[in-house]
This record gives sequence, structure tokens and C-alpha cells, in this order.
Amino acid sequence: MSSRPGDLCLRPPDPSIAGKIVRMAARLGYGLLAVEASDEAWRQASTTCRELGLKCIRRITIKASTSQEARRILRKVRGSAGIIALRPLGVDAARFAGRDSRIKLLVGYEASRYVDRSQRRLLRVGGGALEADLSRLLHGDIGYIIRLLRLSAANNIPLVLSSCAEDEWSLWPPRSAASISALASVPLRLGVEAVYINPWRVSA
Amino acid sequence: MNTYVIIALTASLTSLALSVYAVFKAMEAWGRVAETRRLLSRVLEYRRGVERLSRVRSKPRRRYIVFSYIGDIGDDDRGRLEEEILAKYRDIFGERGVELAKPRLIVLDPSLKCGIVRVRHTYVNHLIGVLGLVRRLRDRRVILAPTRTTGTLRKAREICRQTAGLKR
Repeated sequence: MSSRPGDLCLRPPDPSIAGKIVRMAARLGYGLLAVEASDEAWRQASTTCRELGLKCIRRITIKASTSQEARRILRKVRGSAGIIALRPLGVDAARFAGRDSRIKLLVGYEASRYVDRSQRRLLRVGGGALEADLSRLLHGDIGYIIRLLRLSAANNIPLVLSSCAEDEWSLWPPRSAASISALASVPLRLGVEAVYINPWRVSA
Repeated sequence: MNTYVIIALTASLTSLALSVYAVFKAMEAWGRVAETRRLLSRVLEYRRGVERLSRVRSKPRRRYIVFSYIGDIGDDDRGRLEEEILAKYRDIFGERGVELAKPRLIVLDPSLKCGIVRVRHTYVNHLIGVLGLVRRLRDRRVILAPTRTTGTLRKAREICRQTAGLKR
């Protein structure tokens, strides 16, 4: 595990932007990146990562409303990505994500709605984490971030703060991302863990 | 004989009534004393709390946050950048938040691609978070990346000169 920050959600739409995003992330000091992109963009991103000495992982986000649907999709995408994130559309899928070790991240506002005591325990034990998308903060959706931060602080659930950047200008400076916790009046420790520690733990 | 009995009975009844009255009065007085003591202890407790708080609440100190920036920011953008930072801070923490934190852009050096903002020490993290929200300046895209926080302007300027990480 490194002390460098990690961003587990980059979404470059084409190969040229993939290279630019990775270079900008290196300038900002990131050491770990997860890229969700087409094959060409992923190749470009991983090549640039190798040049710059960053750890790069491919990521896939799946949507499912039931556990059966999630299982079916997981069978299809087996071995194609290092990190599989789930956007649960129903409580059954959220529970499944909590106990299935293949799913590393629970994404979105929907996920926060389904978190209960058993889910908390499963996330703590199973090595998964909740993901907060910081790009929504740039569009003015501060309530979403505050809700996730407070939920994570109150229930001791691991949280990951990701930029979900589609171009190099949407990336977040790591120190600013960690300080987002001040916006929700939760301890700075939570933000620091969400940027510097939890991404490495999830990708391990 | 009867007269003596009546007098004795009357006297005893009167003394009984007087003693009951005295007991009631004493109880009432005791209640008042207890109430007064309770009020007094609450006042003392409040006073102790105020003293404790005044000990904890320390003198506001200044902190200087050094940031490097990516993007085109010229000398003439200084005022605009300060306005943008204040506007973002106001959006999230309100006018009162700005009054309490007193954020201010002290230095903007386009040759070093570096800037320094001053803020009260209890609001450092708030301002660092807000710096991440500043993304546009006159329709040009920028990223403000905080690098270090210091207690003196001299040290902040020194760090500004030393940091070369984002100047490539």
C-alpha cells in the first residue's frame, strides 16, 4: 500500500483524452487510477500509466436490480476488469453486492438508500466500499456528497471519493478531495482515508 | 370542672394547629431553600462552563495555504480569482461562514504558477475543500491544487518558490 492518493473512477471517452487525463493525474500526485473506458482508450491509459509509473486498473460499472441479474452480468464480465462496481437498482442487488467479494464498489445515491445494519457489516468485513462521485459536486449537487459522507461516518463504512472525470479538467486535487469532509462536518480523517487509503485497499 | 376541661382541650387543639402550621411553613421554607440551592448550582455550573469554553476558545490565528495552479491565470485575474474563491465559499458556508473564516488571496504569482490564500486557522480545511471547486476563470478552465499550509507568509512564499511539482 502506498501513501499516494488514488482515484478509482476515470471515464475518458476517447484514447487522446485518456492519455491527457492520466498525465494530469500524475501531475496532481495520484499513484493509483481505475479507468472505465473502451478498449482503445484503456490501452492508451495503461500505456501512459506505465510510462509515468502509475498503477492502472480497468474498471467496469454494472447495473442490476436483483441478485440474479447481478450474478448473470458478473458471469459475463468475469476476468475483464480489476474492479467491478455495482449501481444497485434494488435492495436485493445492494445486499448481494455487500456479500459478494467480486464487487468492490457500491456506486451512487441509490446505494446509500439501501445501507442497513447487515449491509454495513458486510461492507466492513467483505472489503467493499461506498463510492462518492465528486463530479456531482461540480454540478452543484452538494447534498449527495454530504449524505454519503455522514452515512459513512455514522456507520463506519469505508468510503472512496472518486472524480469520475471525463476530461483532464474534471480531476480533483487529492488534498481538496480529502477536505471535502469539512463540508459535511465529519472528521478530516474520513476524507483522508477515502482518498489515500481506501482506494488501495479496494484495489488490493 | 367542665370549664377546665374545655380550656385544656382548646389549648391543646390550638397548640396542635400551631405546630402543624409551623411544620408546613418550615417545609415551604425548606422547599424555597432547596429551589434556591438548585438555581445557584445551575448558575455556578453555567459559569464554570463559560470559563471552560473561554479557556478552549483560543485566539484566532492566520494560516497561509499555498496552492499551485494549472491553467491560464494572468496578473490581471487576481481580483477575479479572489472573487471566485469567495463566491464558492459563500455558496457553501454562507455569508456568515465568509465572515468567520475571512479568506483572502494574498499572493498570485503567474511566473511561479503559485498563489497564497490566508484564512483563520479553524477554517483551513473548509477553504482547501472550496479551492477544489474553483474550476473556471473568465471561461478558461483552471485547477487550484493546494500544496502546503503554513503559519507565516514568509514560509509560504518560500514554499511557493520551491514547489515545482505543477509547473511543468
